[in-house]
Amino acid sequence: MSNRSDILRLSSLLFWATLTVLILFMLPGLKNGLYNKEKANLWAEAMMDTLKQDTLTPPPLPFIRPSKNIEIQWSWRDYHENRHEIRFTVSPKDSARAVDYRNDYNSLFNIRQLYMDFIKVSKGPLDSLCKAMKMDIQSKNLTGQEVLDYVVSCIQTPPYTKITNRNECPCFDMNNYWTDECAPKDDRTGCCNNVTPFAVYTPTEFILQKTGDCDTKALIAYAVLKKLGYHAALIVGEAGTGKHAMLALTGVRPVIQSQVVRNNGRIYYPWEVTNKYAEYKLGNMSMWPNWNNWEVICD
Amino acid sequence: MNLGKYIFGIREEDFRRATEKERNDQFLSYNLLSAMYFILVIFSTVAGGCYGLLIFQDWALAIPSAILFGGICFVLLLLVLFLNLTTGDAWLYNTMTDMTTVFNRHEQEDLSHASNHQLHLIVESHEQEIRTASMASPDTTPTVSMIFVSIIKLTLLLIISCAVANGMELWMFQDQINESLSTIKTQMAPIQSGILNQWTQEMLDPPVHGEFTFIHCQSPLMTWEILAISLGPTKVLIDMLFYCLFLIPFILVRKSRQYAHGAYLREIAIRDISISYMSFLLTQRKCQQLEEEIKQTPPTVS
Repeated sequence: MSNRSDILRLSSLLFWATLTVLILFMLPGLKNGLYNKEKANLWAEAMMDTLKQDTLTPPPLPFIRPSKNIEIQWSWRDYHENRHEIRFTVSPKDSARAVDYRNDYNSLFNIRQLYMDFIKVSKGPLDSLCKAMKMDIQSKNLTGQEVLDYVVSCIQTPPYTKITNRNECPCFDMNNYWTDECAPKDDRTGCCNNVTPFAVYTPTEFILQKTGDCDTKALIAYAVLKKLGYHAALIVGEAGTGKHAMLALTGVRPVIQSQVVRNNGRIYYPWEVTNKYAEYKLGNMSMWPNWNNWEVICD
Repeated sequence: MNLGKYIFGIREEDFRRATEKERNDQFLSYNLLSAMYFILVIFSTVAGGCYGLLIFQDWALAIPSAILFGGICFVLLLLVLFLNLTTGDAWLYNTMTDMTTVFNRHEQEDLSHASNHQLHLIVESHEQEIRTASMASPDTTPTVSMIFVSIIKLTLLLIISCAVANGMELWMFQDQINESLSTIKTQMAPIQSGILNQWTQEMLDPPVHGEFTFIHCQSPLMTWEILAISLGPTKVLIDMLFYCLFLIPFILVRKSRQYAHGAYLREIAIRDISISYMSFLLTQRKCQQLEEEIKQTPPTVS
């Protein structure tokens, strides 16, 4: 019994002694002595060498972590060469949120859900953009087709940029050479690598850097027109060069009559938004050789 | 102060049959164990707060993290301690887990006319019998399952202590780590390109809309790497001290006679046995009474 009682005494002694030693380690003088700054500096130097040898160019995403509100200024000309200009702001929180949301997006069971989620996460910047557009539209007394032309020409104006979810750029694709520059280029050769998960930017990212391909541009055009109260839709189908996405509108009169998409008793007129060309107007799809399996994804 | 009351539920009446010395020893042992346990929970809570600050860089989220981690450790440590609090008297242990031998004594006995007082006397005399027998009882022998359970408990304790040790080390050496991180940031400034460089810079830049509140780095792994390199073998020593701190109460409960063979566990076990025994006797009496009643009442056909 006495031997066993000693265990109690010994153990408790050991416990309090250990505790005392740990508390002693917390004293400033002893802490500095235990922590070897030299080793940390050597590690930092070795790390610097590694970083200097790293020649891989990071993706040019200057908007990833801005620290203050981003002032956006967009100016463009519509189909009648009328000049428009809007200014609005995007908060750093909203921009970081959209980028992080897309990067971490892992539910790809439903493409419609992805588009709707991207619109939802971009609510702040989209509201800001729509507010600026509405004010400009009201000041210019634009109505009906003029408003549609105003919005779509704005989205069409930044040149098309190829977006890929792999590390493809630079490359030769669709009879075109694509550089590894992720920016809207006047010669339409901009290409963005590693845009996961589905090679589509959120509307916020388009607002910030104006880079977008068919679905990125169709998505933001759809979101803006919806917010402005139009019966817009995002349609996807085969255009002869693979899968393609376009904006579509119902309850309107087409400017150039060609193919349509029927959904739930409604007739949707397609609108090509990837670039601003004279023939890229409401209802026209004749720039594409084929028109198969088109369906409304978001309406 | 009876600290043990709050954790182990120790009450004065549990020691009615124990001697004064035994009673004082038991209070001391359980108070000591409770104090150790509280210290470990405090350490766990502080470590949880450090993790919360490291990950979220925000006090509003660090405080719930501290409470959550502290709460989880509170429950797990309590579980391990309670699992270890098993009587070491083989005789008592066997009686409590299998009471068939005790019940068999009354198989042929007529209890239908026994009063509650008589039944109570039977139980009380049995209580005394157990108490006397348990004094000379051999220790319980470890079984394969007990060894297996012990390994699991040890692993669980080591995981908790490792997590707490790392959290506490961050807290202890935060100023030194921040100094190193600041040096790295200054040295990095001339390097402008490279994915790794961009990543490192992002990790060393404060989060959007805020400042660093604890460690000036957004990457826990980078922080630990700096900590491990700078402390070297001292980190292992501090880790070991934390392991000891967590393992001592565990070993103490297992090995000290004050717990496994102490009056508290013995009295609790005897009380449990008595309750089961009394319930058995009452049931047995009722069964016999009903049996008699059935025999006396002729079957009727309606």
